[in-house]
Amino acid sequence: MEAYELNHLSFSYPNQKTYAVHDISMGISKGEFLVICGSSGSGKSTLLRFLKESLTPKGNVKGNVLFFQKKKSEWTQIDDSQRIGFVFQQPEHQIVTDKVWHELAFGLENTGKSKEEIRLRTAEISEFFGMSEWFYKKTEELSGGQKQLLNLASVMVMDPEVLLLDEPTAQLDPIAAQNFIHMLEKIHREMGTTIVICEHRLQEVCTLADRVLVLDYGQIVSLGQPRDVIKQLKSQNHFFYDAMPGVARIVLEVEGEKGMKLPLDIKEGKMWMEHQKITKIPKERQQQEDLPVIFQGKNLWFRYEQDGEDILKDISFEIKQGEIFGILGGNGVGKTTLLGVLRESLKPYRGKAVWKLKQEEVGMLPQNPETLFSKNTVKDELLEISKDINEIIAFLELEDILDHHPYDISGGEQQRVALGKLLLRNPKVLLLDEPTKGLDIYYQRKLAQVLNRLKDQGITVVLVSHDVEFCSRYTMKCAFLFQGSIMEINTPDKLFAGNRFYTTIANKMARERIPDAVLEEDVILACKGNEEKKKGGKHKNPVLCSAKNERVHKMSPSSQIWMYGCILLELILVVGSFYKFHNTHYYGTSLLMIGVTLLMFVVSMEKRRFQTRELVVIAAMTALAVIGRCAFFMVPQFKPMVAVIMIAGLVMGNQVGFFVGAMTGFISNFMFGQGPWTPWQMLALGMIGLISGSLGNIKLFENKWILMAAGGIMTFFIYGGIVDVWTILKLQPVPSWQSAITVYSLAVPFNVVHSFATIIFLFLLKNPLIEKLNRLKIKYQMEF
Amino acid sequence: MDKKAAIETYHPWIIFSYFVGIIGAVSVFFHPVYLFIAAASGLWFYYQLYDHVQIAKQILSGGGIILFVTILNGLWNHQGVTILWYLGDNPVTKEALIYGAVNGLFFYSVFLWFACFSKVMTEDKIHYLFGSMIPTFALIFSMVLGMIPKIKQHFEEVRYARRQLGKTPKSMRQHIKESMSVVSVTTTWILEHSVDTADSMKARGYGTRRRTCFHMYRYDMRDCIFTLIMVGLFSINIICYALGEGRIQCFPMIHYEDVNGIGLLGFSLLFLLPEIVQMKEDYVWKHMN
Repeated sequence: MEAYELNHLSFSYPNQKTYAVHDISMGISKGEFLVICGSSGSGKSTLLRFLKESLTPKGNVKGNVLFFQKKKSEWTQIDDSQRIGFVFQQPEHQIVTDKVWHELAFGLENTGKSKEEIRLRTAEISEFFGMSEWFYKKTEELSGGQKQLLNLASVMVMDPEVLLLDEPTAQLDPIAAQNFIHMLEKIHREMGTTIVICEHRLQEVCTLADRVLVLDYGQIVSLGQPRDVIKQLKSQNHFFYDAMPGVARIVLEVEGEKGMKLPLDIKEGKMWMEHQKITKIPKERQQQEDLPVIFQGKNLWFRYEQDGEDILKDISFEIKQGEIFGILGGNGVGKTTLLGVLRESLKPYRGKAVWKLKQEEVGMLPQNPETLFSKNTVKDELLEISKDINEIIAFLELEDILDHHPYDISGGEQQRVALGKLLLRNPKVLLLDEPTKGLDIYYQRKLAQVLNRLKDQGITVVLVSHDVEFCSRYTMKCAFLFQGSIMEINTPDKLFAGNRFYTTIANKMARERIPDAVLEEDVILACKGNEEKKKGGKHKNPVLCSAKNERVHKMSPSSQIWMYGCILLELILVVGSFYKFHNTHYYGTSLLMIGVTLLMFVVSMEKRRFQTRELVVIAAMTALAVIGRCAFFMVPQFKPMVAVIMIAGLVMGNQVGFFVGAMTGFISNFMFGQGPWTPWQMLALGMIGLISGSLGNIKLFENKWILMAAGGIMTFFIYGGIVDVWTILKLQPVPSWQSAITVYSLAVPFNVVHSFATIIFLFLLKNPLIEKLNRLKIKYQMEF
Repeated sequence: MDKKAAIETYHPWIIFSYFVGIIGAVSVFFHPVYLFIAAASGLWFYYQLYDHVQIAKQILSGGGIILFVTILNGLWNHQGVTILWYLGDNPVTKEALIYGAVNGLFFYSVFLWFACFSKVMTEDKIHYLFGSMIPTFALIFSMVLGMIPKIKQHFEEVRYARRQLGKTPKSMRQHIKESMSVVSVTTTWILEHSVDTADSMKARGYGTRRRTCFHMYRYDMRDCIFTLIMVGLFSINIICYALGEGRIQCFPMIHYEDVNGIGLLGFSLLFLLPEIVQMKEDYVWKHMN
């Protein structure tokens, strides 16, 4: 039985001129392991999302998708959430809760399973995954690889029949990636789950795949068993052929397209090598020897604390000007620390690290290029650094994305933009931290081109990487780091030829017959005798479609009257009780009043079914407000907390504003210590959020200054007023005007500072924050 | 590493009800002896929970609070009959001072017990209490707690990365500007990636049905016994309070009943429950082998 059947599926995003996927017709069998590959922009992610209804993007669709012969309109939500699992690329952002056991239980809680069943299933899955040791840990304490395994486990715990994965290993280091893929293999073998995975680490998955699908600009280039696909790509001279497993490519190049079984992994490759005649020994690549030294490190030792462990031990090496220098090693060996020393942000306690140039001439590209982006378009990002951007745009081929928002472009493009920003500062040395993470073959090539161009201009490049293949091909010298010491420094040819385990695939395959072979070309040359000229690979062309505009559907807010009605009711209760109980029980009554108010809002929140995306944005705003409370601790009460809550209310409505305010009060007290004043604080902040929501509808308050004034007043009177009520009520048997005035006067300096802070932060944060929220609203079609 | 007190292992509803009752009791029993017991037992519990606490320092700060409130009361409250001295036109009365002292004791007890409450009510327990009734609230609670460390870490990453663009702030003004930029960058980051989190939730069926709340708490015989004892002690205290026990009247004259032994015992036992539970656990462990 076919798990999926796609019939002439075509799709384009709203307002786009080309199809994201075009005329895809294929089936996916039950229990199959299908690998989808292609460059970024090839439509792999889009196609994958069509296999799960809740993630299917909105746009112009033609054709259909059948799931176990049911049409999409017949798919139930239960089918979709329980029978089909999806794992995304980013390990961190997929995690919802703060504890491992809770994350595992999350999906089961969503589908309404009982506590006992959840307990059993989570226990089972953590045994299957070998996660029992970290079952009780906080999710923030896990490594990237562990987080991704957790994501896989939290999907598998729901026992889906189909598992969809969108480049799950792109952000992981090679060891973690291997572990992950082994786990997939285990799942496939032991549970027979249908697996559809988008992946670009093809060496590992091709041996597991039943079939491979290659996409280019949304069209099928090739679909079939891995060996057949590789042969087909070669015969079509398609550019993606270069991404296929090196072993297969070597053999195909040497043997040509005879009808034999193509070896895919190293074992098969080695067996093939045994029958080969070696005609030529690969020549060593020429290295320039007479370059001046630009960095010298002698006997460097480093540790973070005086009685901590040594992270770097007796490191000595030189970097020459114009070199592309690679620093290799696994996790935790000290690569990041060494980078820190090179950047001079960390100082070794023994030994000397000397750069023959100024500190400003060293630039570093971080692992996450998003950390460098602060503007709304790529062009503005570049202009932030310098006015002269035309050269860099040409150098890095950024013309097509100048008007895009930095978050709307692919990872490879983001990297180039970040690189552009760095290069505009004219560094003499460029440090790159894991530059090939998440890049597919196309962007790796582009990166290599850029590095070579930089080298030609005399700029030194130092890269820290896990990627053996990239370093073997593009660096001029490599240092292999282990446990804080350099095991070896040499040219890549000599270094990898000399290693047994930490080396390239070509070397592993051929080392017994050709010890000096490091690249695929070396092996091909040795076996074939002559070098074949590389022809440029072909691309398919994108298919145009008529762009249809999609209107964003807006929901109308309706709860204003209800909100204010509730507040009126409360006031009546309060005043009434004061009259009834005058002289006593103020404390009890007011506590009761607060309790009831909070309860009413909470119940209304539960009743209102939020969009999931809205919910996460609410959580993010609350988190920012809470952090705002603990920031700026040097000056008491100088916090952006109220400003953030007000903006949340302004943009998202008064119900959400109250919620964010009350939650901020609760959670920040949870973190700093609860006190009897908690309910008052929650009420005060909630009221501020609530009122801001209403202000959002009044034209007057769109003026920044009026809003700031309102913020200052609310902070002073509402927050300051309400929070001190507890103190007043308890200080005296009968709260008198005198005690009230004294308490408030004592609090005046704090309240003034707080109001001032709110005013300032509203000034600074209002427009940028509202801009960001509006962008989300439009881009992701959220309604608030 | 803070020690885990025995009472922390009981069912969250029990712990919550206990603390609510305690705070309630402290709020209504306005009597120096009672409040002294409340403060003392609070201090003992506090010491049990927080390892690195200096008792002397705590008592001193307690004394400070009591003194402060006493003085405040002396200054404003002119209701007593025994005038000690005059401040301008306003009399400072003995009754007001005594009222202030007792009130100060009340404040101190409340602070102590709330501090213990904060320590004992961990996020897991709060999550369970919310989750069984208001699941959306509970979910946002744990999402926010998960996001906070993530955001803080990202702040540092951004700050580190931006130094590469030459943004090394030197003056105070530059520091502030740079901090604002870091905040802006991180805010964009968390908001943009909130969509990824939402997708991950939807992919696992969020919103399709009413959520259940998973937890690993048990309510067994031990919890049952504790509940009975707790309810019993609360009842004794409520009855005593209704009969007029445990309160002193300060104004216009100081007037109090003799302290009823049973009432006082009931009160003390209630406040000493965590320690009693702890002693029982220690006893069991010592004599297990």
